[in-house]
Amino acid sequence: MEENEVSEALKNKFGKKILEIEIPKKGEKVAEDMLIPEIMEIKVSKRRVFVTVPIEIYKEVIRYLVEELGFNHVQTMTGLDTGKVIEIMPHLGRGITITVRTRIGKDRPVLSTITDLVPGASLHEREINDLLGVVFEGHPNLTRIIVPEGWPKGVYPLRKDYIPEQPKPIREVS
Amino acid sequence: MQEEELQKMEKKSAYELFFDIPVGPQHPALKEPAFFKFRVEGERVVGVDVDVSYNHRGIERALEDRNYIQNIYLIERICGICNVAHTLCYAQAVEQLHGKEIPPRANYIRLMIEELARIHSHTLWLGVAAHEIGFDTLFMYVWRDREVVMDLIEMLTGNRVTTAINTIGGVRRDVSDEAKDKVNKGMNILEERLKYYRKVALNDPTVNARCSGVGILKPRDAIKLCAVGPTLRASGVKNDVRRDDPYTLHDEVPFNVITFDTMDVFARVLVRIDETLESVNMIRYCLDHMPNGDVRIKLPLSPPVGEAVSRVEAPRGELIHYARSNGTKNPERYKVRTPTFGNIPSVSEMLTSKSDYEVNIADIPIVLASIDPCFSCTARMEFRDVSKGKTWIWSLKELKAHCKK
Amino acid sequence: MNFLLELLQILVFPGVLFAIGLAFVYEWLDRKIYARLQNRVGPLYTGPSGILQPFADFIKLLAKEDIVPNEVDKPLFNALPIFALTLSLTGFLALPITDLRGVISFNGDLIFLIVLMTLICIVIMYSGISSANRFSTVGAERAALQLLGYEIPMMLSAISIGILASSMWVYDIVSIQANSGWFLISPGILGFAIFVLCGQAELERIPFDIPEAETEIVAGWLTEFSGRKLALFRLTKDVELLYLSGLVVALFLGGPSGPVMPGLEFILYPLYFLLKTLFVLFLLTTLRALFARLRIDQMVNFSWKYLVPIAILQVLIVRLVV
Repeated sequence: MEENEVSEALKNKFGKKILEIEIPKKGEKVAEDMLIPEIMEIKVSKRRVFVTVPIEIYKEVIRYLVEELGFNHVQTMTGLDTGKVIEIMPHLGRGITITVRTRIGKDRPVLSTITDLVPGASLHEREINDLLGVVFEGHPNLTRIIVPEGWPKGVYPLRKDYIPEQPKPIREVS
Repeated sequence: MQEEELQKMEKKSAYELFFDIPVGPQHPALKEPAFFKFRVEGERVVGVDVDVSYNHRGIERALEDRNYIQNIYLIERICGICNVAHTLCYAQAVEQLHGKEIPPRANYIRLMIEELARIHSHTLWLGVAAHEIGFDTLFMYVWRDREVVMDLIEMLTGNRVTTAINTIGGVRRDVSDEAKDKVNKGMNILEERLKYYRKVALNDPTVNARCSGVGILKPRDAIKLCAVGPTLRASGVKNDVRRDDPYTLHDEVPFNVITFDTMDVFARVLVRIDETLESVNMIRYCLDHMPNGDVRIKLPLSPPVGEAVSRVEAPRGELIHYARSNGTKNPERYKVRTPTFGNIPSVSEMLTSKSDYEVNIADIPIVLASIDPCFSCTARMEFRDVSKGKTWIWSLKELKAHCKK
Repeated sequence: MNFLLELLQILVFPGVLFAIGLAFVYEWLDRKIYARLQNRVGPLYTGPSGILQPFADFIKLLAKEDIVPNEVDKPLFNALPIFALTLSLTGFLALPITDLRGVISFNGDLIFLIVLMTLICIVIMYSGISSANRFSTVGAERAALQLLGYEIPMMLSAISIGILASSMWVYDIVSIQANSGWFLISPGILGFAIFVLCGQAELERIPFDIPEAETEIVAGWLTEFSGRKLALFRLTKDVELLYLSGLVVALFLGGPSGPVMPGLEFILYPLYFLLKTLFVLFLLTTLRALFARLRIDQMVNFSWKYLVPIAILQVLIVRLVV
């Protein structure tokens, strides 16, 4: 289906939650509103749709996309620490890529899982759990997958407050 | 540590039905370290546990500390064989952030190099798969013909494997007419050899015996577990990023999406061989229809604020990069998801015996190899801790101390 | 004097030293032919055209560290390589090389020679079990399963030759072929094919190198052996290759017999032996280069579905001829 059809379908289903819609043409500069929380917005460009949703309807939006619009392929899930919030973005789709962005607070990084809708997302959620410390409720097997064994608990490498250890020189070079 | 090991062994000596066979981190069946723990009963595999953290290099975090031009080199080293796909995806993502198009000649050259890399990767894989089933003769023959491709890549880009030809805004080098002639000749040789290998794969009885009916992945499971690439196409699902989400002129250059419907390792072998033949045709089309013009445009170092998603069909499957820029020279976040990571749930599914489908230990290497694993691509997050402490092996410090004793 | 001559025969020619030397040459030939079939060169630098390569490998392995894991069954682990080498050298001594009878020769030694091969397989099983390693256990289990597969057809084809010659004495079998001038391979062609195939399985070479499959179980039953023990095991394999070719030649191709001038027998017999075993070696190596490795259940299936009936057929044919 076309990108515009997808964005129209989403608007129709969840319309009352929309406060602002931006449809820039391909190549146009994106407004900085995307960095402000609590606004649901949709951005559309060639075969890409970016949707921002609040946490409460995150699972419903994903369910609608997977079951009714047929976007049942999870390409990946990106986690991002913006300093103020953590953004979780599953990317769905085969032809058109829909990115569903949701923002969760750092004090309570909990989100519901989507593995009951798409089992293939399980490894991606485990990766975000390892690297950012987000707990996915309802995940069947949230264990360590990508950080090595013996990695200390509570240290999340992708958070902005993590400073990687710089290797020290073995000898001083005069 | 000793007590735990001894207890485990004592438990095993009292007649236990199952025991665990570790494959990895170092194992002749794996070209890169990964850890699979198989629960076996005799020769039958009943369960598998996966751990892919061994090649963690911290690339995603490292990308945030460097500017966009420096990152090209880092991205290229995510994987040796798929380096063209990674740089292509990166360049596309950054160009999407800038919102600019690259000249058409650059697109043709990018496509040609991408398909040459695909041929290289698939012939390498064919040799490795033949070696996994013990067919060393085919392994040697295929890798001899891979030299043709590597010589062509060296002539076009200067390196046999790591091409370094994609850059933000186009490609670095142009293709001369003599180069085009040599590529044509190379394609003729390759096509003949590939057709021969196709015949061998189809007709040899031992290859058939080892590969047919092994590593079955049903289409519904493949879609549910988000398999990508030839693994998905060998289960009959017609999905290819070059057809669904065309990039660099894949909507103009004609090709077929290859699928097979037997869902097993044999289908994957045939899918890859046929894809290589398709690549040969695509390269010939590129050579015939390449327009004249520039090969590169200059782009500023800092893209505007925004985000981009870029997808490429790497030889192993669908590769996706996500870029977020905050207007500075360094990216705010760059996420890479490689095809092998997406295929791991499928391989766990393929390797568990079910009521009507048995997996033997002897099938493990070929099934693992059939998804074309590239674990260097898979584990890219940071780990700079020196002491790598596993629970039953000494840490690096202790190991060094022990060796000095 | 006689005793001294016999000792010389056992130890030097055609005994232990000759066996070991010839085993190295045969391994070199095997590797060279295998490589040329694969469009490679094979051993090239050590000695003229690489002929000293297996010897160099042997010396290198002798010099390496011999690591014995803590958990193994030590007496068994240390003794098994020597057992294996002794068994295969004993078998070699029973082959007719310089004469129509071997150094060891007695009535009924056909059965003795076949049983020797089974004993070697049992030694292999024990080496797999005594190394406390999962891969070795799986390798030993596979070796035992493979033995179940190839032993019956092999014995049946050997016994069919015995029926043809009306004797279980290798000396009789060879003399009959030397005197009558034709080789027992003509009514025994099926037996020859089966014996060569089962020989490939017994020697654990592709397509039957399942107990030692490198890509699946690291090195199978050989995994924990290193240094001297590994050198002895590899030498055992080479001598076994020689022994099996010699046995095929003695049973089916007339041993060392051929057109001779009386008096020059002690030169011509070994020469004919060498030529005929080279032919068998060539067959075995080509088989090795042509196929992929089979799975153990496929191998046992194949053996019981095809090889055993054909071996029985061979025995019936032989009964009709005699």
